Amino acid sequence: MKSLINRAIEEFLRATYGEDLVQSVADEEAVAVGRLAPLGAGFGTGALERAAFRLSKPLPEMFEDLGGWMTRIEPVRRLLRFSGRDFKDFLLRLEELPGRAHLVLPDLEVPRLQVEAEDQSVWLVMLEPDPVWQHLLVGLIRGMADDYGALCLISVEGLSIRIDIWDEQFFEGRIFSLQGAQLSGAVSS
Amino acid sequence: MSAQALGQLLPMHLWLSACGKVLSVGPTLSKLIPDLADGLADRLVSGRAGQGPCPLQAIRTAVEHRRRLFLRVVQSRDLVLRGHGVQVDDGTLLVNLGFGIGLHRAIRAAGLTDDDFAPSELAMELLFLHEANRGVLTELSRFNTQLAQSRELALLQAQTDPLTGLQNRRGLEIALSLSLRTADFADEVAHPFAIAHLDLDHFKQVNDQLGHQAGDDLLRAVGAVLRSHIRKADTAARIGGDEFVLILRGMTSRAALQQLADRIIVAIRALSPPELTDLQVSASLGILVWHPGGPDQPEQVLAMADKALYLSKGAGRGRATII
Repeated sequence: MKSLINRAIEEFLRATYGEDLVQSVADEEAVAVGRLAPLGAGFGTGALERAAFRLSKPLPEMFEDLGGWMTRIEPVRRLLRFSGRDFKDFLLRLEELPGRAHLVLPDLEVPRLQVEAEDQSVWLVMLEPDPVWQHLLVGLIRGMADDYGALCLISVEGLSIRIDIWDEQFFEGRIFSLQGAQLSGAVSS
Repeated sequence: MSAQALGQLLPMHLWLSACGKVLSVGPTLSKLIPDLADGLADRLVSGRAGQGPCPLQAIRTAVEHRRRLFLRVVQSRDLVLRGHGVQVDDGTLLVNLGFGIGLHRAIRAAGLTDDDFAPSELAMELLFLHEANRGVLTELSRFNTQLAQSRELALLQAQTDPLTGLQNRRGLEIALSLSLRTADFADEVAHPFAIAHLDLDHFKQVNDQLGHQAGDDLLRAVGAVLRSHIRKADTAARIGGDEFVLILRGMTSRAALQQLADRIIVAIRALSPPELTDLQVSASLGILVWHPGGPDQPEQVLAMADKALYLSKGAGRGRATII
């Protein structure tokens, strides 16, 4: 499970900032620890901190970018799209996210979420406040707004995330069909 | 209840009159079997083995005995719908069907979307879980492959002498035990082989007079010589300092071994650094020809080859002793 997260971080850094940064972060980590990291163990959140430092970028922004990047990975995007037929539905059903994540990765501790809504505003409250998850979620929600084609304003209010939806169908979002996965040949008939 | 409301509530329903005429078909079911409203015949058959193929008979039996109902879709034979039915007060039969494990096929066959499933159905969750599982498994198997490759590399490195690229002592021990091992089946015995223990003459002087870099260069060159004189199935190892061991499979001819040893000695002499004016680097060998039934411990075999090597050294170096 940990190797999955580490790989996500490594791939995110590689896709966003290139192989050179990945190498220098890995080298720094090895120097700090005094030996080469074993396979799959080299890119924890520590690597993200090192990368942030190197890039002179605030760490929260790194987590946000990581969240946004995840929504552009097709399998992840599809899993997220399964939980809402439109952007508002997606937001309102974010309460299910920890349960869904648990189905996939039982070890992953996603903080419980509570959703409140009023008109076109949605508040996402974390029952176990965690700044890392908060920034990750902001990036994730921003990425999914793009995916659904929604126009919204996302802001952080204390321990909650506020999403004001201006237009649910501002532009054409990306296509999602249930058959997508079958096309890649997982289920034979 | 109007047929429309029924369709909204149960998108996979089938409503039949007492005599089997189709009264209404749920919208998702008619996506799957477009002309089902014209009649069950040739569109559905019983999906349960041991019953007749008649779909109406299957429905009646299931309703009467409160059993599960299985109906096969004729136009896509691998799709079996399952469900149950009840008899309504006016004698009509109301059947509600679902996809079960055939969900993926149904989605593909009829191009179904989220809207085609009743909210109470777990279809979306099943699809979610299926894709999530596949994603995680793909990742895990990728990671496993990577682990297996690194393990293989680590094993290889653990048995390799980094200076010469030959096997190290560990690699030699493994190769030697394998050569000594008797196959357990069919009375097969281990194959004969020769083991040659080789030691450089005057290597110490190269190190002392010309420096360790020259010594390392020489060892590397000797490694290349040995590698070029053995066959693919043979083993060449450096087991320490300037000590090398060859395992030569199937080589029992003393004449051939003597020739090989002579060629190796000549090649190694050619490597002697010209700066070394008063001496010439050469090699001494002790060779043991092993036959099945001989000593079966690797240490014993090595010790015997070592003894032969000392005979060569004692007899004036630059030669081979075969025992």
